[in-house]
Amino acid sequence: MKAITNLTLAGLSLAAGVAGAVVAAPLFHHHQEPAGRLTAMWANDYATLSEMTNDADAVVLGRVTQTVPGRTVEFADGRPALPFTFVDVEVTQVLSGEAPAFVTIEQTGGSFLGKEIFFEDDGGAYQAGDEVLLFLQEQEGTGLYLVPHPAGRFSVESGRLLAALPDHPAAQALDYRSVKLARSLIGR
Amino acid sequence: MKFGRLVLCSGAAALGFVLTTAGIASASNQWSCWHWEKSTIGTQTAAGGYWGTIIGSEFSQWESGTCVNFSGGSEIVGDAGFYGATGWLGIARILDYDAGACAILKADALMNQSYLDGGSYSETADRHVACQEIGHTIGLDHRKGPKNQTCMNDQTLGFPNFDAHDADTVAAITVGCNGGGNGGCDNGGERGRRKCNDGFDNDGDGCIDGADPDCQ
Repeated sequence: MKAITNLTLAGLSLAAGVAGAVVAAPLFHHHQEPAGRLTAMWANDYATLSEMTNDADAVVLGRVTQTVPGRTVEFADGRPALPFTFVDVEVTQVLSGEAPAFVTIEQTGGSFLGKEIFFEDDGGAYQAGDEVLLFLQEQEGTGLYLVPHPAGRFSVESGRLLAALPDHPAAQALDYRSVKLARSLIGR
Repeated sequence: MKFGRLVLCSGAAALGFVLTTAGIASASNQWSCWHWEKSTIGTQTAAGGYWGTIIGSEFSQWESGTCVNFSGGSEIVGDAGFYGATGWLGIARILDYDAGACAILKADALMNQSYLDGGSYSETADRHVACQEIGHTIGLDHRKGPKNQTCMNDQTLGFPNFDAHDADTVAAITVGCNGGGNGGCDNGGERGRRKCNDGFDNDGDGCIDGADPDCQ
C-alpha cells in the first residue's frame, strides 16, 4: 500500500515538474535579443585545459593598455572585406611558456562600414584597463600574437577568472576559479 | 519516512522539469534569434576558381535541401581570401539587420585560404567549412558532439552536408517557408496542443497560439 502511495506521489510530482517547465518555457524563449553578428569555425579546438595549455606559446596574466584599429583585408575588387584590431597588453605574469613584457594581439573584428563587429563567442571587444588571462600563440613572422580559440580568453575580476566561453570544456576548469588556482593548474 | 517521501517527490519534480526544459531548449539550432523574413534570398559567389566551385555548390546544396530559394543578388555573399593566421577557417557575419525583428538583411560567408589552401585540409574539410558558414548566414548555429553528423558541427571537419534537423530549423525560422502570403504568420513550428496553448510564440513568426495559422 505504501509503495503504491509513494509511486502515486512520485508520478504527481513528475507531472508537476513537467507542468512547471511548460509554464516556465516563455522565460527560455522570450529573452531573445540579437546576440552575435560574427561567428567562426576555429582551426584548433581543445578538449581539455592541458591540451589548450600545451598548444599555447604562452599563457599570461596582463592588463589591456590600448586598442587601435589594425589592417583591413580587401576583397579582390578592392572593397574592404574584414577589419582587425590591435590589442596591446602589458604582461604582468607569464604562467606558461615565454612572452615579452608587452604583447600586441591581433583580434578579428573592429569598426566596419560604420558598425562595430566582433565575434559573439570570444568576449567581444577588449577595453583599455581590462585585466585578462590569455592563452596566446605567436603569429609567424609578424611579431603579433593571437588567442587561437575563444576558450583561451578570460577576464579577471576580483581575483576570479571569468571565461569568455564558459561552457567550453577547456575553459570550464578555470571559469570562476581564483587566479591562484590558475597558477597551480597551468604551471608556475 | 516523511523525509523519504519529500526526497522522492522533489527528485521526481526536478527530473520532470529538467527533462522537459531540455527538450524545449534543444528543439532547434537557430543562431540566437536570427532569421530571414523571406524565403527567396539573393546570393552571390564572389570567389572564382576552386573556391568559386566549392561555395557555389554549397549554395546549391542549401537551396535544394531546404525551403529557401537563392536568386541572383548580393544579400548573402560567399567569398574566400587570405586573411592570415587568424585562428579561424571560416566566418559568417551579419552585416545589416533589423534588430527589432532579429531579421538578417545582409550577410556573408568568408573562407580563410591562409589555412584551407594548405595541405592539411581536404576538399571535404573545405566543403564542411563553406557549408557551415552559409548555414550561419541563413540563421543556423553550431551543433556539437559526435552524433551530429552535419556541416554545422564545429568540432569536426568530416561532414560536407547538412542534415534533416538543420533543414527543419531553416523551415521553422524562415518566414514564408511554409504557406507564405499570410503576413509571415506561419513558420510551421506552432503546432500541437501544448504549443498552441502555452501563450508564447514558439516559432518566432510573431503569432501566438490561436492567432498562428499553424494552430488553426
